[in-house]
Amino acid sequence: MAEMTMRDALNQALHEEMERDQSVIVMGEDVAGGSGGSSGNPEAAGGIFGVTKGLKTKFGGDRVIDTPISESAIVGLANGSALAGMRPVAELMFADFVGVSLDQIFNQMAKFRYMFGGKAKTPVVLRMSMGAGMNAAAQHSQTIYPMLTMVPGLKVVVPSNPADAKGLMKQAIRDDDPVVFFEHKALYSKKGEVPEGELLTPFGEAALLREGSDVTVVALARMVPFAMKAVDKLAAEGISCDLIDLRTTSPLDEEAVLESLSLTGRLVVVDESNPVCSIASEIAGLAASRGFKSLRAPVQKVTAPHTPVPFARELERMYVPSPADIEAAIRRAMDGV
Amino acid sequence: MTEITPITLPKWGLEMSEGTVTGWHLSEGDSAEKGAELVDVETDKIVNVVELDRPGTLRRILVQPGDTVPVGTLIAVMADPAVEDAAVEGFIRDYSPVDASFDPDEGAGEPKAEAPAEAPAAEAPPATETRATPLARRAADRAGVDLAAVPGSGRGGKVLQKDVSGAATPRDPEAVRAENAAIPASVIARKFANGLGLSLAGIAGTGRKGRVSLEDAQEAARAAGLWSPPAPKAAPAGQVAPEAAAGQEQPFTGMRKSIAAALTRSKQSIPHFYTTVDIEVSALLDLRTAMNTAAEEGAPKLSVNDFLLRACGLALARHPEVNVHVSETGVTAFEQVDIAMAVAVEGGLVTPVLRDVAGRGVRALAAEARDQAARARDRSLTSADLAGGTFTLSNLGMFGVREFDAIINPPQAAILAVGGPRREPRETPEGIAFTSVISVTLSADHRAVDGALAAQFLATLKGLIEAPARLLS
Amino acid sequence: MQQNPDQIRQAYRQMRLIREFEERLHVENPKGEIAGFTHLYAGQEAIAVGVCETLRDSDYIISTHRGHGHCLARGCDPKGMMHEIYGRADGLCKGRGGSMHIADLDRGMLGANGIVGGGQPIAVGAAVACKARGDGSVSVSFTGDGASNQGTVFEAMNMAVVLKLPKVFVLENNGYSEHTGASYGIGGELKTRTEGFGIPVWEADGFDYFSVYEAASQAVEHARSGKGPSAILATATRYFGHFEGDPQAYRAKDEVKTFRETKDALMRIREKVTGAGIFTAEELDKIDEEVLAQIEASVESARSGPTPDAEILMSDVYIDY
Repeated sequence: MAEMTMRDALNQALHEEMERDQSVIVMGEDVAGGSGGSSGNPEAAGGIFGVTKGLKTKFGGDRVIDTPISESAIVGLANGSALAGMRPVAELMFADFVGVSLDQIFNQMAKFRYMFGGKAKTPVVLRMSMGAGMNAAAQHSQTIYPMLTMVPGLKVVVPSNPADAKGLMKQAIRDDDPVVFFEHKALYSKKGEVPEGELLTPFGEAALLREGSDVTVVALARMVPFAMKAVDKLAAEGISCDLIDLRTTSPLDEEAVLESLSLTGRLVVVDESNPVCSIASEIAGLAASRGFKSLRAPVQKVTAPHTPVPFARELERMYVPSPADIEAAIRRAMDGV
Repeated sequence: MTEITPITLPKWGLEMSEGTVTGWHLSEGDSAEKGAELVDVETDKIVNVVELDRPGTLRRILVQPGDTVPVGTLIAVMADPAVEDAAVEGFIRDYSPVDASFDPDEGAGEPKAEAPAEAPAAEAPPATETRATPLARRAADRAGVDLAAVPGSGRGGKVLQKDVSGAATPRDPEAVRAENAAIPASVIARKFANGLGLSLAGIAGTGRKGRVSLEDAQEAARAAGLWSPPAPKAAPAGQVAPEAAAGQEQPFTGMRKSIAAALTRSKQSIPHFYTTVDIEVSALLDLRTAMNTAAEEGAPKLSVNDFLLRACGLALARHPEVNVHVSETGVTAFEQVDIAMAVAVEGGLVTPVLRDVAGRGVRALAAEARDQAARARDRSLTSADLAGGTFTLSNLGMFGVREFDAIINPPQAAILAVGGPRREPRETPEGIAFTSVISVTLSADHRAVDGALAAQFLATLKGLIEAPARLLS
Repeated sequence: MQQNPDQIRQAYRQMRLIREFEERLHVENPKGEIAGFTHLYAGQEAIAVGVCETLRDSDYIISTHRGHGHCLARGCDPKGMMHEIYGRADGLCKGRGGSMHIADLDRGMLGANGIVGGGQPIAVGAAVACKARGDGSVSVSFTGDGASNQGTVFEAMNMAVVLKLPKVFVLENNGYSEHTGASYGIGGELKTRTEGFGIPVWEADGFDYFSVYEAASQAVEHARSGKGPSAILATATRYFGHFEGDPQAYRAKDEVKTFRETKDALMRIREKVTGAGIFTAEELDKIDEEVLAQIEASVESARSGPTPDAEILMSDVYIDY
């Protein structure tokens, strides 16, 4: 085991996979950075979050491609190169920029295989940072994984820790389907143990991070450490929870949720996205349709409010679900209200 | 110049919430011009240098190289040499840093903990015919192994003797856990199996992509006799009700709500009947006194209740028909006797469960009962402590109660209500003598327990208590 | 194009205001009180002011993520902006937008924009309104060299030509799109690209207020007179990183220093104005002092401004819901 940040774990995954497979290429704005700059430094950025650092130096400009700011064309680049046999890892910098490139994502890459009679293969990994918590305001802070989770043909990954980030990234690169990989920007600098050696984390397999018998708490990405705080606090009071980290929202490990619910009878879902048509709604719907007999209390959804992400610190702290919000929801589940 | 200037850990870019001071370029007392390099700060992304944005004298360094502090932390103070040290110290003391953190503090708010209500009891599954060799059957019988749980390696899956001997040896839980980790299974199924020491190897998975689902694991565990469908979660531990103003309705606390719901349901839906018997306890009291006198210095004193627990355990072991869970559709029997003990706490009651009461001695039970009662009162019981009782004992003797009827704690089939000892005259061959007597009342669920069975159970209990030496065997 | 001394004094004041606003934010930002992204405009003052000085109150502008200069040049209240940047309830956007989303619809300022290239189609829409109203108003979009590679910009240009709209594209080349040099990122030339759509381009020295003003006057007049869209191409540099905290490893160490010493827009306008005997250096110094005092007051006020509450979080998502 080595302790490292999620940033470094992702970087390691990219290094290993590029080393292993010549067809893996990386592209995006400033993935190297410095092209055309006056310092002559050919790798002045390594990605604005540092996830792609060292790649251009090691693998060269043909495989690590700095692009202009043209999100639609960046995703198009990934799509076309994938159809033509490469395994592109494209970076959109901020998930909000999906807005600029949505056609290439949901009309194009998601649908090639189905539309083309099962003959096409689009092994794209589309990386993007997401999430509130750093006051990056309404156009740089959104958690739009629900939007893309609802698109048939896309796989959607939402890691919560360095080890999963690495294992899921390596899996994503080797996966033959298009994968949208959401990296929470407030988690990049968080450290965690990452096992040595080959690490592949399968899709559609949730992780069970705490084991309990009273409440099933389902969370993803940054909400996982928040939920863990709440769960650990309540454990000291005798309220014990299963804490499920979904890890991928498509495919979704429905069994993990339903089975845990069958043992606890109570469900709390924590999702940083807006409440309507969210992963929280999806899990609540799952409980209502397939876990109804297990339910002993109303499902508690803990989400951001139905507003854009605000800028000011005070506003954003109110916006993002907190460990206290999660704790209160678990207590409501226990009270059956 | 009297101005004192704070130097704080800088925020460089969106992501930075903390930084590590790696080295100071100036020492305390040094003066420097605007633009002079002051201190190196490192984040997990970059190393950069803080430059002075005005000329001045470095008076105090507050963060040493190697220390990591949040953005906005006061790391140094600049001030003219003419400024008194006391003023600098005062400035440092009164400085309130910016909160530029990203992660919220843990939640405020008072806990409103509520313990779980009961889970519905499920049916005992039907027995299935297992193919096994006669030798295997005999070995299984002797080892107490359920043949249905043993993966057969013989022709057509027939269980062989060697399969049974493998199954009878308890496996190292860590080994099972490691083995299970490699088997495609849902996380919950794995959790369930690891908890029971059940190996998932060989279980056919019906979940997504052939994973072993919880249902698969539960079926295997049930067949192996390692598990039966969920036992009830016992009465709740919870919060004390705040004082209500006179004349105002005080809403139920979570604990009271849950007690109210469970007991209302029990009393309304379970056909209770009550059987009372008087038991002479003089011999028991003598035995208790003798044992307490003989006990080592500092050993906990045994109470009458400890002997009653043990007596109930033995009586239930002798009458397993009472040691059951009852549902609307049937009865689940248990080999082990797990007795829930009603403990009054402020604002309600809780019922921690003592395990395997028939299999343990009075002293062991006494120690655990004391511990459970203490933990009930300081609210440190876990839901595991409260789960799964097969019978309940409620003793109000210490309050001078003569006898009372208790409400069954479903899905259990019976509860015993114990009154306090009283002196009563008894006719003996030597004439009239006074002896100590208690009245105990069994509340039983008539769906599972008939009057004759209740009477037999009480007779056994009475016999054990009146000749208490047997409680020590 | 003639400008009277009052107009020149005003232009100088605005440029100084932008410069000192940004220099002060560069000092304040690391202290941690200001949250989120801050993108500074220092170095490009002549462009924003040179263009906005040619506009009428009824005209529209739309800005970029690097928006402080455009906002100030358009007359947004520096104190209201500072409060917004500090996330205050009484900021121009109630603390909801911050540095990257300052807007002032009362001044025809349709917003700074966090999406690179997001503003240009919107400005084309405003131009549709100008044309429909028929009052001779124009719509101006500011576009960086980075944004000029977005499809939205090409679409906006074509649309403006097809609809023959009173739309002015201001192409500001500051040399870098984030951490990548413009010389790498732009295929062909910004000028010929734009001309390829049939849009006439007036080029200007982005460090020289008078050069920008001259070009803008002609470009705006072209659009205002109903001849269709026009463009201004101005080249300058940014003195600070892409965002505050950017280590700028892509830049030669002395690049900014050289620009500051040889081309600086404030230095240039002072030289020209004093050289022509329009104002004395002392008169300009007095303006500088007034601006510094104004900024000091804005920062002091913003630091103790009211923090926004839950009501601000939850309102204005809709008008009626």
